[in-house]
Amino acid sequence: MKKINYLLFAIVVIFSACSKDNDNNQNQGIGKGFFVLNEGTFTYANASLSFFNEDSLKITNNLFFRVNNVPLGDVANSMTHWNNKLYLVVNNSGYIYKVDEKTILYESQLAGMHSPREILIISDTKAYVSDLYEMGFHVINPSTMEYIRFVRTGKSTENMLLLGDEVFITNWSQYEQQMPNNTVQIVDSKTDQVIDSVIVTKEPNSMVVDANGKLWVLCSGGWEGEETPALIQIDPQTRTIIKKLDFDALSYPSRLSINKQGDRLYYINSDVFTLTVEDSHLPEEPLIEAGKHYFYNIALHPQTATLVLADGSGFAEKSYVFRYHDDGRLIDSVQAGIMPNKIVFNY
Amino acid sequence: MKRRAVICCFLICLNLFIVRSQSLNDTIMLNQVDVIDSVLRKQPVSVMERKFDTISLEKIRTSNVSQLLMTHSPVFIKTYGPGGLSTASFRGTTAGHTLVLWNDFRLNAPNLGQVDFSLIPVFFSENIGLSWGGKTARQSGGFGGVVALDNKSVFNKGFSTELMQTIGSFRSLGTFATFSYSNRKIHLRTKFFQNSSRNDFEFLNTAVIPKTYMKQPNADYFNFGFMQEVHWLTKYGMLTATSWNQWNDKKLPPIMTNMKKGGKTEEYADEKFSRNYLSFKPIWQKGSLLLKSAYFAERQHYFLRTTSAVSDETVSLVDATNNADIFNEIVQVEQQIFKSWCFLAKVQWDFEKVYSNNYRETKQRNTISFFVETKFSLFRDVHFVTSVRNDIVDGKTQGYFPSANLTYTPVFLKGFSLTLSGIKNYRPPSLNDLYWYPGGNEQLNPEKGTSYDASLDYKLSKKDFSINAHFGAFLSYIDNWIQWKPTAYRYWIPVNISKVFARGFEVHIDAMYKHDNLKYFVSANYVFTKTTNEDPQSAFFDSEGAQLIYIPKHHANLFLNIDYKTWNFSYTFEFTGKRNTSTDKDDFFVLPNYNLHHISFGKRFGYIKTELRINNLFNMDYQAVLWHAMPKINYEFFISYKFI
Repeated sequence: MKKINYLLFAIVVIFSACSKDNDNNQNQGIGKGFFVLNEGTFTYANASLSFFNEDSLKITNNLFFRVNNVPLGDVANSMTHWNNKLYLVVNNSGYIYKVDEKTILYESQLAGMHSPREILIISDTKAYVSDLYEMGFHVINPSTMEYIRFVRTGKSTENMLLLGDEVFITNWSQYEQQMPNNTVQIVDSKTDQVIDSVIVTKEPNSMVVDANGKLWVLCSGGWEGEETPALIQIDPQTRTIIKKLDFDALSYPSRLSINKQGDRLYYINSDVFTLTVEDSHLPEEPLIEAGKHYFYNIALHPQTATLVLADGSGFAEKSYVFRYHDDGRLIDSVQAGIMPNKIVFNY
Repeated sequence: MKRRAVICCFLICLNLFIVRSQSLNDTIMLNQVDVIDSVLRKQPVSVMERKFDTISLEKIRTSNVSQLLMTHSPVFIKTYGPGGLSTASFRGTTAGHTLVLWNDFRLNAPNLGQVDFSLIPVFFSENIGLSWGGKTARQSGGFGGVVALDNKSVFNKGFSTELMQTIGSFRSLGTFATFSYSNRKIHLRTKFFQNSSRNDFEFLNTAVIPKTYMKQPNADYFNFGFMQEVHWLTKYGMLTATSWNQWNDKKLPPIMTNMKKGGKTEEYADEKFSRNYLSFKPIWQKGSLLLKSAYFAERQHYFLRTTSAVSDETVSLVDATNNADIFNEIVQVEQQIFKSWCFLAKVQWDFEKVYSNNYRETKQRNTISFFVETKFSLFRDVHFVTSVRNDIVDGKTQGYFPSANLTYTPVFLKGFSLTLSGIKNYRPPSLNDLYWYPGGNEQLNPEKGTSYDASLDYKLSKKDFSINAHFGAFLSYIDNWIQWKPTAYRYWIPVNISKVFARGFEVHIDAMYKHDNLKYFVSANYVFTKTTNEDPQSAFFDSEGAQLIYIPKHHANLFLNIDYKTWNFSYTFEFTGKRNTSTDKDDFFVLPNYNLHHISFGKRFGYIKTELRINNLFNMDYQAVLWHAMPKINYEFFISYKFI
């Protein structure tokens, strides 16, 4: 009986979404809007998946559990959209779930990893999975969800970005490791071998590419503030630092994002700040003040100038996702799951 | 200011009184050495306490206090499974708000503030009781109530030996032994126990795809302990020395969602402690002096190592020690001033020192507590108990905490009593809250609580029949509730964030009936609790009015015991209502309610007693904590030999 209920729920999700006014054929299914991956509380296994429909302005929570009748897992760290599939990386459970983006029905999984963090799809047959504790990254087949091999880089891996045939990987964590965590490693995606690395500042946590093809790396400076946090611009061709903008020593900046034009950067440093890629100084005034909120992640709308901010201040309660205009004016807020983290647009 | 000066003068006078009482001991001490307690016990006492009956204690003697509370009391136990952490929620509060006392000494660990009841064998206590309301006034922290574990001396019984052995499912073994000797002046008692289990029960893992039957991994445990008691009835009073020593090793299983994680995980917690106290209690015709001194050495070790999923190398390692040395000194004087007026004064000094590699340095806390209480009666049927306590923590006064208790025992309604109680209390932050690195917050304020209770009790005792009934209602407000919250610095910090309002009512009934060779005993508990976060921030999270996590609104249990000649049958039922694991009103992760049934059949052959116990009779699949597996039906065989 329960299975029938879940199937009916999936059908309702599909049909309710299809009944909306969809201009874009790619949006058939769950609708236009964004997914929110709610990390949950460490060891509580209360991670969840939400979807905010921009037509109805309503959010549906606990999607994965509703459809598949199993919990998503323990600490859902990241999510990637590829070929009408969603890849949900569940860090402390050590697996990746692949689900249909329209119905959220479970399709397959790849388990047995230690602490997978992010997945970067390179082709139909190859994806990289970074790992918090392993000294390298996993290579998997995203279509069949088969494990291919582990590539040893000598450092744990975190954020990944594909530029041409090269993958830039941040070495963010130094937990139980001898090697310093102040580098961005460059991997040839054809051979899966590390070909170079750039020394930045401790704890490079996020990267974006601007309209000029330059790589920006945000570094938080270390767990105990060992180095001055910095925002660093790198020429990916020469693999040299173009400019470095230092933060105050007590800062802890994270979650670097960029607008659709690729000319304006956003990041969280308790509050939300923005600067252009041409600026030579970090902004002093925030675009959005956090107040009592704990902004945990940020995403820029791929078509409009909307900012979506996740508030991670809840512990045992669901927290909020806020939508803002690019000038910092609040549009609205909706309640997602516990510790909303990664936001992925469905366009 | 004037009020504070008056109270200070009062406390100084109290100290002088204590000193004077001590100096007078030699002159007014009774010579009759057989008198082991004062006449003060005959004074009317509050009904805000309940001792567990001997039948229940006897039945569950080879188990732990967690199991006792779960099946025989209104206290809700949050348990992570057999051998796993078990903490109490008493009257809608959380684990840190249940004060646990062993012979008046606090067992709540100074670093965590809570107690793991799975590590306390019932076997080590002769008296176990619960108290609440005004009865919790003597110590800080018992917002919900107090679980009191006491040892009791007996004299003139000669030699006695008791051996007990259990063997059960999942390779569970338990061995218990008591050796006792007493004459008119001395009682010596030694107790040993050891229990262990592989704990590898099978369960259906509904948290993975596909749902799969699995064996619980990495969950075995081993506990060993001994207690030595010496009670010496001197001509000046009772001298007692007791030492409780225990070693607990347990592995920590993964949660159900993490069974497919790569690499190998080695996770365990070892704990050992030595708890020792000395007490001396001279008594005189209308009063007594109690001197107590304790030293507890608590040693905890947590270890976690994980290996790579692609090689054998260690990729994460936590090797943490949390050690504490605790000293407690108590001086207490009790004196009957007039026929219907008793006075009690107590001074207690607690020194707690914690060595932890999770702190930047060794931390300690000094607490001096002054407590005075008066009991008096108006007419024959109205009895008052009032008290006030002042605690000074590291030189800083925490304020004055009064309590008042009124009991009305109408002469025209024999057996009935009505009690009203009000109390103010506080709970200092645990040392982890203050000093854990990273995240500890030294700016935390103590939690402050106000509780009101009303209860109606009825007692009837005949030759072949007795009944006790208790109906109680309670309200508790706790301000500055400490909660750990995530921050922008990747670690969590504790903050005084919440105002919590707990209210509810409880019913307890026990009855005994004897007829020829048949003896029936039944005991039942039901408690309704509503505990909500009243902080304005909770409205923001849409959790205003939502039940706090892991506090069931409904909790009930029933115990039936039938003895017929040498045969015995017992049935235990426990009901746990649904529990929120998140404070959301529409939370999908609500744990459903569950019923558990346990039965046992026993037969006595002279000095030997045997019993077959069947737990979770109907093979219920349930979770007490979200995504933590629990055992289904399981069996235990018990045999004991008692020689007196």
